[in-house]
Amino acid sequence: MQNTVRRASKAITEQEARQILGVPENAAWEEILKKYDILFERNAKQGSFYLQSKVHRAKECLETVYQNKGPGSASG
Amino acid sequence: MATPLFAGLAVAAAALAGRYGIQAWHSFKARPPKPRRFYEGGFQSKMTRREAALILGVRESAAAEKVKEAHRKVMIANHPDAGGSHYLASKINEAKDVMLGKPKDSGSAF
Repeated sequence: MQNTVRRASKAITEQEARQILGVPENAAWEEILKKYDILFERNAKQGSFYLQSKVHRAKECLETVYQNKGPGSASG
Repeated sequence: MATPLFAGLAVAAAALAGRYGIQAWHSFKARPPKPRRFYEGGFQSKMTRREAALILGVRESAAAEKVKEAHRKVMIANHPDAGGSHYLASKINEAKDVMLGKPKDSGSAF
């Protein structure tokens, strides 16, 4: 099945984004940023660019989620 | 007759071309680095050899020793005990197994 070669990876889901960064459902945005910083830097130094991309995409995805939640929303 | 003239012109042309070439090479070397574009999306639902190689940062044709070395290095950067995520760690382990041609084995010891 060679026709799958050109297909882009599936879009990242919120669940996968949380798994990648290792944050629970009710995590605060600060916690997410902290994990992102650690993982992004570590993979930049010693990991692979691919993993770094995934970490970046995960944060990007959750950023949208948290922005939609609105400022000052109390969750958890 | 006109040969020395031609020879002279040819040398001059070569010198100018060389000078231009060197200048172009220097500007090329000094160009600002183009930032790499991040890969899109999440992980693939079924890991391919291509994805496994990307995860470990090796070529698809990498030898077993290189794969193990890369696995160790990438795992250190993402170890769950050191603040990494279990999900990424499992992907890294899976990538190694895919590259080494091992069947998917649950509970592989790190």
